[in-house]
Formats: sequence, C-alpha cells, structure tokens
Amino acid sequence: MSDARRSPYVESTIIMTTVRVIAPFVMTYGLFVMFHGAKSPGGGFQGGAIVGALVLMLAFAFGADPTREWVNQRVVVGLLVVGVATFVGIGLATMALRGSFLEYAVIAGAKSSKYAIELIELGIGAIVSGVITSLFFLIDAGFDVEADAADAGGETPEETPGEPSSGEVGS
Amino acid sequence: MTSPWVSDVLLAAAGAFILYAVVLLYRVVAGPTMQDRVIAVNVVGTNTVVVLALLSVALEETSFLDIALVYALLNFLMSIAISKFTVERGGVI
Amino acid sequence: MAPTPVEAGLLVVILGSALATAVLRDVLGSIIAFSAYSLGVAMLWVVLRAPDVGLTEAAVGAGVMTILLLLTIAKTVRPSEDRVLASFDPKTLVLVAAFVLALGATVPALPAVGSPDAPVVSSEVSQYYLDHAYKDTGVENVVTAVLAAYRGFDTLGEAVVVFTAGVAVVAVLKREVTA
Repeated sequence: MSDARRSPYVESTIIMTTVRVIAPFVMTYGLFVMFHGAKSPGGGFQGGAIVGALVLMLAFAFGADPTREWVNQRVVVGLLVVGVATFVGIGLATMALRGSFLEYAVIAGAKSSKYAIELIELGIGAIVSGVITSLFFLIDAGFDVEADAADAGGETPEETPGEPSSGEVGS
Repeated sequence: MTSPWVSDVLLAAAGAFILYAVVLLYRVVAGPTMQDRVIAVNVVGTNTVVVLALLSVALEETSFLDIALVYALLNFLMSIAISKFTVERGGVI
Repeated sequence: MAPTPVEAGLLVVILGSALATAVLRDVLGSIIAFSAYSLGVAMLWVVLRAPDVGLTEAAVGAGVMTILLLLTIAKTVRPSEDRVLASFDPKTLVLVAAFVLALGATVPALPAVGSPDAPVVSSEVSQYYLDHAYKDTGVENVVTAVLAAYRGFDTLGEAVVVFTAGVAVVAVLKREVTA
C-alpha cells in the first residue's frame, strides 16, 4: 500500500548506522530493566517504555511505514491483551491453588513469588510497550487517510477477549 | 568505600555541571534559532548523564548508573527527532 | 533546612525550564524546554534517592514524550509568529499566582527531606515493609515488592487502566482514520 513511499525513503547514514548499532543494546537493556526490577530500580513500566522507545527509534531511522509493516498492528494489540491476561492469569492461578488473589506464596517451588513477580513485570512491560507503539503509529498515521485505510480494522477482534478480564477485575 | 572528601569533590563537580545546565538553560530560552535550542538541550542531556554518574559515585548508589545508561541510550533520539522536525518542517518521519 | 548547592542548582534548572515551557511563544520551543525540564526532574529524583521514579522519568521523558508531542504538532497547525514570548491575559496570571500561593502555603507543613520525624520514617507500616519484604516475597527491591506483592491488586488496576486507555485510543483513532 505504501510501496511508492517506501522505496525513496533514505535517512542519513549516521542515523541509520547509529540506530542499527544501538538497537540491540536498547532492547537488551529494556528487557534487563523488566527482569531485574526485583533487584535494582526498574520494573515493567520503565522497561516497557524503553522497549517502546526502541520502536520509535527504528521508525526514525528506517521510516515509519516500513516499521509499521514490520511491527504488525495485530501483534501490538495482542501484546496488550497478553500483558493483562498474564497478570489476571497469575492472580486466578493463585486462587485456584486455594490462596488469595495474587498470593504468590501458594505457588509451589523455591522463590516462586519472585518468579511470579517477574512474570507480572513482563506483563506490565508488554502493556506499556504496546500502548506506546500503537500510540506512535496511530498519531503518525493520524490524518493520512489513504495511506492507512488498508490496514485499518486489525484490532477489533482482539479487543473483545480483553474486556471480560477488565470487567472481572472491576467486580 | 568512597572517602568523605572524595565524595565532597564529586558532589562539587556535580554542582558545577548543574550550574553549567543553568547556563545552557539560558540558551534554550533565548536561543535565536531553533538549532541553538536543540543543541543546548542535547548538551543538557549529556550533562545529565555525567551528573548522574558523579552522583552515583558520591552517594554510593550503583543503581543510579542504570538511569545514566537510559539517558545515554535514548538522549540522541530526542535531538534527532527535533532536528528532523526543524529541517523538514512538519514531516517528522 | 537549606538546600544543598546541588539541590539549589537543580531547582533553578527545573523552575527555569518550566517557566520557559509556559512562556515561549513557539510550540516547538516549548517542547524543547519541556524536555530540558524532564532532564532536570530526573536528576532531582536521583538526588532525593528515588531511583525508581528517576528511571521512569528517564525512560518516558527522554524517549517517548518529546516524540509524541512532536508528532502531534507535526499533524496540526501551529502559529508562526516572530514574537519570542507569549502574551498572557492578566486574569489568567492572577489565577495562576493564586493557585501557586495556595499550593506553596502547604509546603511548610511538610517534613524536611530526610527528617527522622517524618511520618514515612516513624510509621510502623514502612518499617514493616522494610523488615518483611524480602522474607515475604523474595524480592530485594522494596518498591517492586510493595507494587507487585503487597499492593498487587492496585497495580493490576493500574495496568488495566493503561490497557483500557490504549485500546480506547486505538479504537477512536482507527475510526478517525477509516471514516
């Protein structure tokens, strides 16, 4: 749909090379912040923001439209759902094990609560990075009607499975 | 581990760098062109990395280095974004 | 308690950039001043020994916020004028000054930074967290322990708020695009 715009896109060599070199490190660092939130400052929100900034960085170096096609919109909205589902799932799993909601200690195994907390941080990271990425792509596509009309409507199927989980929490 | 006078010296250095940030802030506000502002803010960002590293040693908190690392990795993104915006006049991407 | 030179310098940076954000006429200039503000605030959190908050400010302020704001003004019309500073309605100024005074009046009631009499130090709750967090959760960072374990339900609520807001924005903007 945007082949006409994609081919002529060339960014300055300095920016492209810098981003190409730095991107793996930013991704690693974002995951480190998410995983290591149990020991050092950080956690899901911060790590998710760093991973989201990575996608923005890629979009700056290689163009928004190629990045938009590379990062599937369904995957991004799927990330949101997976994040919330992880959190709620762990809470319900502890209830299934006859504990209270989110009482990690009932999960068997050494340091189970630590691993459950890290899983939850990953879920929060997925939510935050998904929100940042989709906000960026949507604002960028904002009023550019013809360029984005083709890949619209990708999020409606995923939207429904997320809503029962949020309703469940509110009750 | 850090002896008191070393951490005093490091804190004084951090204070000097913050003073430098105050001076740069004048350029951010007054800067006749947008390029002056962009470069001034980029220098404030690099300054922040240095100040955070100094504070990390002076206050003996290694975890502060994590924050300095985030700025070191992400600070250039801000400058590139603003520069592209000024050059291409509205076409950010 | 008098602020240390580092804190005083940081306050000047923060207040200066916040004022610049408000008074600069050009929107792009405001955004640049706002990113300087975010840098100053991150340093202040570090000086006040709140690295978790500082890391959040770093990740959001350095990478994401500026770019989303820039994208927004790229997609909208911005006034181009030669004046550097914005002009203000006197009534607005009075209102803002009154608001600042009202907020500033509460500051002397706060305990000094690091004061041993501060409620957060003397209360049993924070001491309980410090004593029991590692034993209860196996997590060394007490902030994470409180957020994810002791107040896990609250954090779930926050995550769902972010999720709902994200999905709502996606739905609304997609409709805007396709319509």
